[in-house]
Amino acid sequence: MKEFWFLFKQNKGAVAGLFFVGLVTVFAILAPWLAPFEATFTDPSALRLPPVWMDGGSSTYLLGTDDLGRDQLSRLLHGARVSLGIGFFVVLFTTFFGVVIGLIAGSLGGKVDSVIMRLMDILMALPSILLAIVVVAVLGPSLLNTVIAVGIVSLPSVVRIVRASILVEKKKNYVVASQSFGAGWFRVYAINVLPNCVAPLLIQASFGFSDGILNAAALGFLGLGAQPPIPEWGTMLSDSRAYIESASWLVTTPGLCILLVVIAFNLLGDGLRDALDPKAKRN
Amino acid sequence: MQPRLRLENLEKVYEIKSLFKPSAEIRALRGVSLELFPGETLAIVGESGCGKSTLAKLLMKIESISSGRAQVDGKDLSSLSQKELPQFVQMIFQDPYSSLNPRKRIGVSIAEPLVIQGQLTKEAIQKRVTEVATSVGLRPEILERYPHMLSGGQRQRVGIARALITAPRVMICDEPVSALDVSVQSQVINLLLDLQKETNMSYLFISHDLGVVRFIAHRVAVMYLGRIVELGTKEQIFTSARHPYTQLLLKSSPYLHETADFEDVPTGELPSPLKPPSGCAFRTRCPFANELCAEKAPDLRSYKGVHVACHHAEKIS
Repeated sequence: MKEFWFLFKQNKGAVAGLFFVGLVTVFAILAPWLAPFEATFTDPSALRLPPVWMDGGSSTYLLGTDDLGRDQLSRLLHGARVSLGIGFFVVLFTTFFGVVIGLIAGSLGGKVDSVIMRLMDILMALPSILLAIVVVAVLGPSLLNTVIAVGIVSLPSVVRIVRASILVEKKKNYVVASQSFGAGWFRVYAINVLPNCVAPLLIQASFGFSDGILNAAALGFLGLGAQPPIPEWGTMLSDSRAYIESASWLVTTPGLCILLVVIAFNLLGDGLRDALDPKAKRN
Repeated sequence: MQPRLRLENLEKVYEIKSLFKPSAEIRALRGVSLELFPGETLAIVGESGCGKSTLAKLLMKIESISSGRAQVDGKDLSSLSQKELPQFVQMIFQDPYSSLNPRKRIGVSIAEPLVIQGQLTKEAIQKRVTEVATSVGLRPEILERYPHMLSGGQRQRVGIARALITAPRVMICDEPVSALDVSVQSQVINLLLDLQKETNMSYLFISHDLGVVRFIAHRVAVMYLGRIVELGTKEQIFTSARHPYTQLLLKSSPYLHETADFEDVPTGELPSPLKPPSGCAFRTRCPFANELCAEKAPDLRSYKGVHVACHHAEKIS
């Protein structure tokens, strides 16, 4: 653990990423208390008000208001809740099913493995946003279905990673020894092998978080994700698309939020990989 | 005396199936017969790919036997369940780095065979772990550590302790010292010798290091391409080997000679087990080979007290 932190610390970008992720998480958790207004509070007297530093800005609405007179800052803070929540549940979904499916494929091998991996290949071959749209079209647009759709899209990469590390580990002698003592499938794979595959999973989870947020925002932008008035960043982008020239801050701020969070998670993932995977050590 | 281990005509055939190519067969073991007696060390030597490790896997029931019989203490190996097996046969692995789970404390790793058997209470297992650890020269505090904190020699002692914990009758040592430093090698070998004296265990000692074999073995079996080509006491093998392959091995071992003279060592490599030569498998590299060798595979026969599989054993001195 100490060694991990030492290696992680050397990657300045990763530390910045971790810091930013932590900051956004705190914002998201404390959003109801930090935000000056409710996400759905409307002020009919202040429509499309610019941010405080622009001409005509008001110090009541620090980042301005949208076309319905809702406070942009409050909506962004609440949006952090939604976006991070989606990311979290997508990672939870993919990690759980990815580990189960990957474990089965990697440990049983043979026909089971072939069938599972070909299915995953099919999922991977389809453009991710298209597949997510199909899933949402079948299930109907809602926050939960967004999580399921985005989760299914990012499932193959987790399955592949788990399976690959199981295949490496199962050849090692401690597994052979365990089998020779008469250990059952669960003991050999779930208790002995799986803990040795945690490092790549952790790295994947970090990238999965950013992918999940990005895909969910894309679905929201297409009107297939979170439905208004839920303050999801992608939905906010889509709602204010019409005002991109007259009230550019309405598009810029949620876009920036998505950008920064995704970059932060990617930096974090890179740092984790550097610290956890000795084979991928930077030169 | 009843042998601890009796192998009769043991065969192992691997089938290689491929979607686009015709399936092929690898006969990894061909008619291996041998006996191992209580308190005895039988060394199995040969090049990589000769079937030594396959033999170990069959005896640990990690791979299934294709045909032939294997008996441990008079019981058929196939009648023993995998959970019972550790009481009869246990194994020390070659690589002490991959044979221990990196995420488990040493004590947990050593206890694993007993925990899986599930017959003893936690306290009894703990007591036994400490006992075994002491007998292989590990201090009790090491039991709380993780493998990466240990040296190679210590890890191999852990491997030995794990194998010892079920008090097996037969211990398969798969090159137990070849991954260790020379100075540590002798410590581990001495430990193995001491343990054998105490418990009268039998060792099946798989190795390609003839120097170590000469030190530890009572009898030696030489394998080539899945067959035993010569079997005799250590003295017989090292001083009056009859099989040309044994002689080749002895000549090419740098540890056994003061002056290295490798000039008359035959060249060539082990033939592919997918396409073994007709007749005697060694004839492609043998200086004595003639038509007879290409036609008929020599059986293992007794000649002057040694078992040797060569048509020309009489001619060779």
